[in-house]
Amino acid sequence: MAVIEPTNALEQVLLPFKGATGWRGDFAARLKKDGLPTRRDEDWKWSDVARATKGITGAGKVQFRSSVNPEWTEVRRAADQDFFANLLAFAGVMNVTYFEPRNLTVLDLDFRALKGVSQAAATIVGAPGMSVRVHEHYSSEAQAFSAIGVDYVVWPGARVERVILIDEAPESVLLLSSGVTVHETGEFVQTVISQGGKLVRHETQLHSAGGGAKVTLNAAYLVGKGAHADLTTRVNMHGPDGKLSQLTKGIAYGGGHGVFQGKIHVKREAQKTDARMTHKGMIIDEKSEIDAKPELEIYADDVECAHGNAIGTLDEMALFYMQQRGLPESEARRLLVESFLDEALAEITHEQTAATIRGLMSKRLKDLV
Amino acid sequence: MVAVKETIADVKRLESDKYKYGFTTEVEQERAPKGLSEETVRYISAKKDEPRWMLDWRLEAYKRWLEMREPDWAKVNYPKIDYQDIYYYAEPSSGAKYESIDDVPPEILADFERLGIPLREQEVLLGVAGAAETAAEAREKPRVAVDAVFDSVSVATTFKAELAKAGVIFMSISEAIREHPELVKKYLASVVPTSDNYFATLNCAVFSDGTFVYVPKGVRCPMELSTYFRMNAEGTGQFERTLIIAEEGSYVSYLEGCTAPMRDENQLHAAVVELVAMDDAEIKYSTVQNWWPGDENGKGGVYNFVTKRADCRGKNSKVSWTQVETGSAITWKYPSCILRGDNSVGEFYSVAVTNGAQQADTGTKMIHLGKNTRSRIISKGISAGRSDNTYRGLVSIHAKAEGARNFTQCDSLLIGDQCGAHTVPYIECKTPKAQLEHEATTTKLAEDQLFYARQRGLDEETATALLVNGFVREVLQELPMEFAVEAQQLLKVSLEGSVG
Repeated sequence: MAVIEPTNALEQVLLPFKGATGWRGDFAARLKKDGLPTRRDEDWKWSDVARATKGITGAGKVQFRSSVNPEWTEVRRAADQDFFANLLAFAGVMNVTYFEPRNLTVLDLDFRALKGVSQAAATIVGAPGMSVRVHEHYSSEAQAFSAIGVDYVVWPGARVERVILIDEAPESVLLLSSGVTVHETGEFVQTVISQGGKLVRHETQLHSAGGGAKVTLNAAYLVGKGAHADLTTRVNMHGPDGKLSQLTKGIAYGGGHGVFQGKIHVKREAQKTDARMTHKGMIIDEKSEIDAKPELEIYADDVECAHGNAIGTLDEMALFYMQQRGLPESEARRLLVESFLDEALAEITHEQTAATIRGLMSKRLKDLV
Repeated sequence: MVAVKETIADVKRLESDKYKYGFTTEVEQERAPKGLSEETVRYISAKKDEPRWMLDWRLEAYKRWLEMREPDWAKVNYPKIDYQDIYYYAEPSSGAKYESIDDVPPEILADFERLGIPLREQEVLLGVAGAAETAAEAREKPRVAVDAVFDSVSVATTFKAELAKAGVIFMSISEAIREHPELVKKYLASVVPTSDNYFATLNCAVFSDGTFVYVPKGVRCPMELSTYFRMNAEGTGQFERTLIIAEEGSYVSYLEGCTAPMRDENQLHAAVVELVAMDDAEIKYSTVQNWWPGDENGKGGVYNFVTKRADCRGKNSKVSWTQVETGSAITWKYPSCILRGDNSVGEFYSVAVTNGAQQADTGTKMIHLGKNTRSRIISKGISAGRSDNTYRGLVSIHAKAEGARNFTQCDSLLIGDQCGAHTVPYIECKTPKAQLEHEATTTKLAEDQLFYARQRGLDEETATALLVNGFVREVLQELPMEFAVEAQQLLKVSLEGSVG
């Protein structure tokens, strides 16, 4: 019997699900019916996956390396969960890479997607009372479409700091997603640095139990020619006394497209929630675009919730002032943009990591000026 | 302490009449057969004595509507509407047209009087409806020309002659279709296209009456114009259509008020409002919406599905929307501005209050197309009881809108722990030469302020009313004087029973 070769990304994604049962089977049926997300889907309004993955086909692979050996675990999901990218990533693997570092403070993870369609998934657990720092690095070959899911569980008293560097190839699509559960008195600090790709989306769905749980979600994006970076977060506050602080800053230049979607959902039980979300975008030149949707959905009355959003361009006055002081214009521009983005890196505690990231960003910004 | 005394007096007064507009008026009605079909559309068009082109336009809209789907993206829940279980047209059986105010059935005049809307010009002049005022006092009051719409029919339009002297056309839209077809043809559906959305298309097919305003070049409209909408007949929907055109360099301020009787069933209200502002023209549009919100358990109430849009076509034009939304079981309404002309300005000031089981999903869209266009959005949402209140808005800056500016502020206040407040802003920017700012907060009434007010001897309800008035002040001060007072009272009534 002849095997029909997939002719598009959707068929390629569906191929391994043939004969799948349970939630994977249900998910495949849903995917077959709805297709990959398009602009018509509210959650993907500015990031059209179906369009971006056009022409990408063939079975790919995610090469994975980690600084310690992982364990394996099985996942259970519900196919109707409202978290498409994460379901896709977890459905594509039979056993999930699993880490529960106990005698360790740093964990390095490296994901590299090869050409073609691929999926990968990992789960990381911050054991009670433990403190761990995780560095994640993502890169790819050209013409890759990968869905990678990295889930976190933060137990009481644990502190997890996560630094994510996304360095995708310009012709590739990456849907990176994280389901995060933070228990009472747990702390989760995340910093994402994304330079985009043909379409790169980092999506975090976080559930906070409240009870002194502290969450920080920071991100910086810098998107240049033809690049698209999407940073999406959805935070659900379930119990009282939870804290959330969120800052996303980004620049778009040379026709780049930045997207920020943030949602804070405060349940009726989550009284005394203190949540703040800020997005600031800077558009450097014509043809670049930044879109934002900072949402609040609040059912508890005794809360302090705020969000702010600002989009503008380089401060001409500051530029002028710096030139007056003898800095060449290009240098002044770079400095201004760098200092603008720097605020989003403030929560990276490890100085060397922060310095490496600043160096990378600085190099990237040199193209711009 | 005068202010405090007044506030207490206001609250006292309100205890007796929570929704004082809930009465019905016994008028013999003639209605279109129940349900919606091509026949209904023809019936309405014939009743209005419309020319052939208008009927064709309606039928075209009806055909499109049949192929459309009811939108479900708003954060509101309601049982499916049976569009065949509604009367699309109701008129007093004495006829749909009145040559003079003396022909209007006394019941209807009395109805409007009860609502505080005097329709006899001399009464307005002498302030008869204002009871004990002297003629001199009344004369000093700013006069307001009123178009009164009762179910599907405009029953009276005051001060028409005086306005005509200034060149301002102010009449019901049915009259305008007959008397100024060239203007109607030119502008109708030029801002909200026939197939814009489900409810707008439905309105195109079955709209019954509404207001038409045309302000010619360079004219500053000598008085405030207003329309008062009253739904009275049972099982009837109201589908009004308003069209306002401000020619070059003109100015008009327009007010809109609405009420409906208390009924157990849900009534549908699907209106379309279109504003066109040419070079240097300014339109100020204010709404106090107080349709029957349904009882505490969510029984009955008006479904308010409205499409309002302004086209700032000319350079330096300005449109300002101000709304106080306290009524309706469900509100689905996004008054918008298309800022096409260079240097044009769009403003949106809104207070939305929900109590009981009310649901409101309201906001605005500011579409910046022209250079140096500016917009300002101030939205205040107050939720109490078991209600849900959503701000949903779009600010879109197109690539050519160099120098565009937007400022948005959305504040939500929650009173009680059974309600919800939501903010869903969409921000799109395609030029480096624009500046956009958005701020949103959600809080409860500050305990310390409440405590302070109570220390001064105010009871909890009065103190709450005082703080809420402070919270919405930025919006209320945008309303014309007469409306501001009414709106303040309305806020208090709407929040009554939400504390303690």
